[in-house]
Amino acid sequence: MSLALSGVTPGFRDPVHGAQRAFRGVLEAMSRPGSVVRLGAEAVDGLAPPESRDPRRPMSIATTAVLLALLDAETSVQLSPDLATEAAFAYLRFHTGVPPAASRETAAFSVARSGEVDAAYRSRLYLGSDEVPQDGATLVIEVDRLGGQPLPSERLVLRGPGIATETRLAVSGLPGTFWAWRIGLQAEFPRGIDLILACGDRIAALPRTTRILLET
Amino acid sequence: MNEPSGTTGQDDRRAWIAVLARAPREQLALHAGALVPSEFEWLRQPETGLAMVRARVGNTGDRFNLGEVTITRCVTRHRDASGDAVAGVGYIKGRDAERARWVAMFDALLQRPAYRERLMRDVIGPLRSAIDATRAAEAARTAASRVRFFTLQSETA
Repeated sequence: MSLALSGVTPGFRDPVHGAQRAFRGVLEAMSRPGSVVRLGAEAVDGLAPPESRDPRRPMSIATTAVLLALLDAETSVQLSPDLATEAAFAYLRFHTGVPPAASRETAAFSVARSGEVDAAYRSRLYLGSDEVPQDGATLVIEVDRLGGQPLPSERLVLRGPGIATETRLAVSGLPGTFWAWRIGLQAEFPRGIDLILACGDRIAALPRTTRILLET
Repeated sequence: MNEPSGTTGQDDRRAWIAVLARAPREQLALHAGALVPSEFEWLRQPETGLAMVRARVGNTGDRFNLGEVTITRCVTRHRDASGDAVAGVGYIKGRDAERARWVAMFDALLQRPAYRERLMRDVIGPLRSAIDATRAAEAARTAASRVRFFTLQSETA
């Protein structure tokens, strides 16, 4: 694969501490599902995310930082049509050494915009097996809005490990069918997918252990 | 990892990178004074690691691992006024990060037709002569102590 090196933009300013800071952010978000975590300056400063198909909207800072921290040569990543540009693959390849996954079924990480996670997309995500559930994919979704005052239609009620009783999270951009699918997966546990929602420089995580109720 | 760079062939680039990587530090430092660091953006900061050097017995036999060598590498990007970017890579033996940076910066500029001729003449030329001179001096010193062994056939055979 030829790599247009001159088109690659900078990653973490300090690769070691940047990756550690971003990893810490993911850990924080995963251990307290539903909490919105702002990635620290160390993870974000100097980071220049790669372009997507939409020239006005490159990959978000948070998605980029999370991917740079989590990917390496032994993982695999699949990008949704909107994000799957030459530039994005070259960028991830250069900074992390990750090979592009042959298909979404085999990808350890799948990255998409909120509008793209339709039924066809979801049906091709690997959930892991009962013997090795940890092989289930991690899905990173770029959403339009995360946290803050929720509109009535976008409020999730979360329960499960890492949450004392229950907590609420506002997410916009993901359709009701997506949440219905995610709730349906709860019956498959320990198989399932771990979800990271990204918006700007903030992330929130919904690991497969989190039980979701849609507040009506 | 390379990309075609205009009219320059891969071989030309390989040759100047080889010269830059082998150039003695003091000499390279002399030329590096003219570089403008603010024109460069670092895609990969210098990082030091090990690479396995492999060899073949008698140059044709089985492959074996000769040993590990410390390598420092980095990648930079040079942008001109029109926003056009070229990437330069620096790989050197050892852990001298600054030297690796210089190699990468020169590599980027050498891919620009506007700089190439002048740099080839003023930088690569003298560096190549310096490397050749060092090699020749070493060869001469070794040659002075060279012993030729002749194996004589036994006359009765």
